[in-house]
Amino acid sequence: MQKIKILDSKCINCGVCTALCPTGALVLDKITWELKFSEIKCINCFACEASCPLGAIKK
Amino acid sequence: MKTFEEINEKIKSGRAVVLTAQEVKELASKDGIKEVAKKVDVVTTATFGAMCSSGAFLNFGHADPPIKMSKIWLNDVPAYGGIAAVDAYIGATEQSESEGINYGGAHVIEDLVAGKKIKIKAISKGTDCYPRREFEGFIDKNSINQAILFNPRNAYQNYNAATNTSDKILYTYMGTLLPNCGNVNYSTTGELSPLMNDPYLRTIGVGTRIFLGGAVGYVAWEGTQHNPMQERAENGVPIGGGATLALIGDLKNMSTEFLRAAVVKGYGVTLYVGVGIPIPVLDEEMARFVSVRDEEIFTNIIDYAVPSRSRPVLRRVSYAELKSGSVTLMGRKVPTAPLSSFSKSLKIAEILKSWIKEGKFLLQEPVQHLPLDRHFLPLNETKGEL
Repeated sequence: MQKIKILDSKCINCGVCTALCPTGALVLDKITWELKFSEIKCINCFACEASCPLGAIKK
Repeated sequence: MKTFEEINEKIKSGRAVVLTAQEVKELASKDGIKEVAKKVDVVTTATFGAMCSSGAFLNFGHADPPIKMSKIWLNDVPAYGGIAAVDAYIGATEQSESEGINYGGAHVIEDLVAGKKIKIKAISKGTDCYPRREFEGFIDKNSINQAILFNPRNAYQNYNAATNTSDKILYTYMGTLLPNCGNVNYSTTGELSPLMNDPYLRTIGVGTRIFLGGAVGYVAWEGTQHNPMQERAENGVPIGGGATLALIGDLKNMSTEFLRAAVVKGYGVTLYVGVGIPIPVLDEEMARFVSVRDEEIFTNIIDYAVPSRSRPVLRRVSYAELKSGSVTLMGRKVPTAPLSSFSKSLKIAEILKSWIKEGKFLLQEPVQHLPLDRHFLPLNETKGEL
């Protein structure tokens, strides 16, 4: 099954994708404020993909 | 009570106590404001967020025969050419004439910083002294005379949070807003953000030396839409958009790690700008200002479904609640997300701290304070004279 990929070279860890993720597969770590992705929780809705201003989320 | 000069002497001799905004708040919670005033000399604050009101002045040098460029395109993105013969201003939000929203002025700026070649096309009507009518070629940051980042409005002191009460998805500069208040987006870094830590701009003014895009920059002036008369909380921090800064720096020295082009879906191109500002702890009042916590900083959640410049406020919220990942809105738990990068902001605050501790970066006292009495004026449709 196709999963999203976070491109580390592009991601700035803003986390704007997190509020669009319906399953909590994308969250911000509250200590480092870095983006964490859980492949198990991801349902491949791709709502996050277009929302990323840096183009860091790809199918 | 300390002066800028005394703090700079301590920086030069390696004795200055420099903490990041995050560290100073922890110290204040543990030891109190008086101890912060006594122990700390400088606090480094930072933000890394989408700042649309950004751009760069470029000077290309003269072609032979010379041309007075009147219309200019850089990688097919129009740049403003109404400044002399070979000066231009490339605005961050300008879009490519061939690629539209996918490539814009911010991308040209990032590509310049990265050292990439940029295609230039210019046209002119031709004059006796500038006979050439067309020019096409390539430039990069080393082939042009100046590349000066000059951002008319950066580092908003505070800003509204956004939601959407309509039944349609909205694509805004505050990001994608889901229907029926499906999310709340907010833009500043709260307690880390520079102007939250100096609410009355006591130490930040014209000439303040800063971190800008990975290099040294300066505060040039008040930013556009500077709104210091905004309603303030008891601690002095504005609730919603307040002060802004116009920033300037040498683009050639900047880094793509801290200057990044972005495309906000359905809205347009913007530039993520990294800004770090050192705040001297001159006295107990400054110690109190830099110790402000997210729990004490508030903004309004605004309904972007209303197509008006005066959008309704749905509720007031603290940054602590926004950063928790959800807020209660209309009796429901609604997820929140930032538009700025806290992790990059923390990194900028650390870099600026290291520059100061190494004695490479001295504080510059403002040569002129920024106004605190400006009102934010609307644009009204008028028929005839004002």
